[in-house]
Amino acid sequence: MEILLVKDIRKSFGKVEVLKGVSFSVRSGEVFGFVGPNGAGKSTTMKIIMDFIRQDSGEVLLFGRMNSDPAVKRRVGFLPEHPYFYTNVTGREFLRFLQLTMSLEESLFWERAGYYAEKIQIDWALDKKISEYSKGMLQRFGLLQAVVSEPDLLILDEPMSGLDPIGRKIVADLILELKENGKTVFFSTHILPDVERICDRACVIIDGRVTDLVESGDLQNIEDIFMERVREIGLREVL
Amino acid sequence: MLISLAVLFFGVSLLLSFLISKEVKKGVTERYVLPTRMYLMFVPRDLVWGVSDLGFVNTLAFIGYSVERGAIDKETALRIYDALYAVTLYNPRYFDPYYVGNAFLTWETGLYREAIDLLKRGMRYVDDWRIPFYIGFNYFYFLGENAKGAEYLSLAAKHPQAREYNLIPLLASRLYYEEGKIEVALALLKEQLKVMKNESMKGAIRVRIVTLERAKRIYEAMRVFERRFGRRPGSLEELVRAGLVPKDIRDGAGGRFYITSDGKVRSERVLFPIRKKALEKK
Amino acid sequence: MRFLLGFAYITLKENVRRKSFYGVVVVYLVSLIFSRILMEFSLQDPSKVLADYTYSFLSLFLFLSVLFIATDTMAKDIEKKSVYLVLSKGITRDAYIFGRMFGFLVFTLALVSLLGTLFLVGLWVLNDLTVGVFRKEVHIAGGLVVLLSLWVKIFLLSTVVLFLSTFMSNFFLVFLVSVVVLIAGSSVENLYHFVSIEKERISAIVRYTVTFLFYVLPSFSSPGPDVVLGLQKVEARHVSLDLLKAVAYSGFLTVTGVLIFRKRELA
Repeated sequence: MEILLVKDIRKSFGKVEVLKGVSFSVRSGEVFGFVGPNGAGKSTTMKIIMDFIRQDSGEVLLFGRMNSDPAVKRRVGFLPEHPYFYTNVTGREFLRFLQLTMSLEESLFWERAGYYAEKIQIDWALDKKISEYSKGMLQRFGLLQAVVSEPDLLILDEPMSGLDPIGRKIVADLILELKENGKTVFFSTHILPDVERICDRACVIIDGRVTDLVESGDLQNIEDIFMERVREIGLREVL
Repeated sequence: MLISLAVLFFGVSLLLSFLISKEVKKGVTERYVLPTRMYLMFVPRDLVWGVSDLGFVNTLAFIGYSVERGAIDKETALRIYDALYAVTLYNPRYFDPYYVGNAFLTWETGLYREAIDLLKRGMRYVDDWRIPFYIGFNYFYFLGENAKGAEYLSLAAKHPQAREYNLIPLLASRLYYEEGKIEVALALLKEQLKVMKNESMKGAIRVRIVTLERAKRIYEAMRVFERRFGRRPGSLEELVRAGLVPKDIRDGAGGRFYITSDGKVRSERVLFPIRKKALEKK
Repeated sequence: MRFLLGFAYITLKENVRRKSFYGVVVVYLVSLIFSRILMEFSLQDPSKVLADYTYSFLSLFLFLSVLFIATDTMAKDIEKKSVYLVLSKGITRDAYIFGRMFGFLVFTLALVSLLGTLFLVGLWVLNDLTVGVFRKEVHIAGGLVVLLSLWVKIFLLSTVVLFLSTFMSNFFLVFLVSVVVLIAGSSVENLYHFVSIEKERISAIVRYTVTFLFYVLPSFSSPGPDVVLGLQKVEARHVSLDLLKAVAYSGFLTVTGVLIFRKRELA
């Protein structure tokens, strides 16, 4: 069953066409990688999926419904590329804000928050002010806020960005655990070995177009596919 | 090295401040320090309170500066009046500008009408007996308009804060008397007597009431005399001889009455002509 | 409606921890002492001068604090994209704007309570202890009316910032335009009063422009220090109408902000 369906979306900023008809779908229970060089349109696609910006044409369906429907958003967890939090509050206070705004049951919320915080190894920092967090801690905390409500679909924009190898392993393990628990993960990345390791499927986006949909059997070749497409288009800046 | 440089720079800036201060002093002009209506109009309403107070302090400093320099020309005086007008327009319940305006515009510059104009605004906004008192005083003392003076002085006298000051009703009653309004003067004094508590202050009022009532009787006798003899009496003795007033009629303080050549009743101790200089001292 | 609590919670937590928040409190305390010094310049009305300065400083600090804090909060949300974290949780854009508005409502109440208490207590103590023969009494009830009015007005200013942030992404631009609206809205009543009494001397264009601005701009003025000293009675009708206009204007800005924000590209 397709949980996320992106159908021929196009988007221009002024005269520059950033997305030139992007289409792909993500199935329930899979980990789907979204791979592309800088400026290929990954973040723009994710912002359109989250309804932060609107496509000029095309359609995005989440759980079979329009992505502008707030009810479906409650089933989605999102990590932006550069998560920015309110800096004068502690991690726990920010989580409390989420619990209140999402009207989640308090004890269950904190039980989950404790579990995932420990898993992501950010539990020790929850009572520190967010302004004191390092870049890696911010990234891990960003992941925590995305998973804490146990959404059915996780959309992660560069979740490994800014993480050291230990951090990357923690995040990768978490993604796999979520998959085991029947959750769906859609994430963008630069790091091709991560795609190979944790994804069931992936698609390559270059210059606003999806060039390849890579099935599980071909994932070990994703680096070759990716480099070949880049050579064809002649992009200078990759990774 | 850097510390010395920093100290040097700071020293130079202090020296420059000293030099600039001389320039500033040289160039003190009314345009530079006095607030204007236009300027205060653009100050946000919530800040206008503090800003107008500061404007008043500037005005006060400028008055001091101008007085120190000598005679103030009319143009400068009018600018100061405009500044006080501006302050009171946007902060009308602040007493000081009225106080200073009254003192400066009258005694120092002779802008009596302007001072009264300013004070009349004060009367609308400030609940203080001194403002009608100043207006009344200015009308009587500087402009010689006794009727208007008496009107405002009686307003001051009736003010709850001023009830114990007998000087105001005494002066007001004198002005009414000078204008030939003895009934009004008596009514004011009698009303005042009812609300006053201080017995020693009341004493002077009683003396004035007795005096005015007797002066009134003399005036009535003068009218009877005139009807009877077809001429005005030349002196009080003529009235006594005609049996129209008692022989021993005296004012409240024991002074003798007399009739002036222009037909005015006066007395030695109470109803003598108003001596402005004496009043000024009080 | 629980989401409103969430916004109130985070707005309070985020802003009361600012160093600048405590800076404002300390500077206001210093300004109380400064007002006491300025009082010495009064000849016969020291209580009035003390009230004028303490009130003007209070108003200045309240409006500046709200201007900075609201602009910075909105800049973090829109310019730095904290709003992504909120909107991705199924909070609608409408709810976000209403939530922020409610957050500012609570925060401005906290701010006015803190500085307002310092104002009333400071004025009362300084007036009682240091003013001699010309002392006027401080009326707490009048003071509370003034604080209520200030609260509504600084909340109004925060909704101006909120509204501008729904279509402007640049922190500095929002700040600048808010300052212009604040100054214009604060002075337009004076201008309107002026053109009303000087009808004959003012050209029709100026008169109509000022009248137009008087109608369309929000008003930020409050009853002022004379009410606190009991020199002026609270003009119940004027104050009520003024507060109702401020509330209606805040409502207008918030709802218009919602409509604009629905269409906004959060790129």
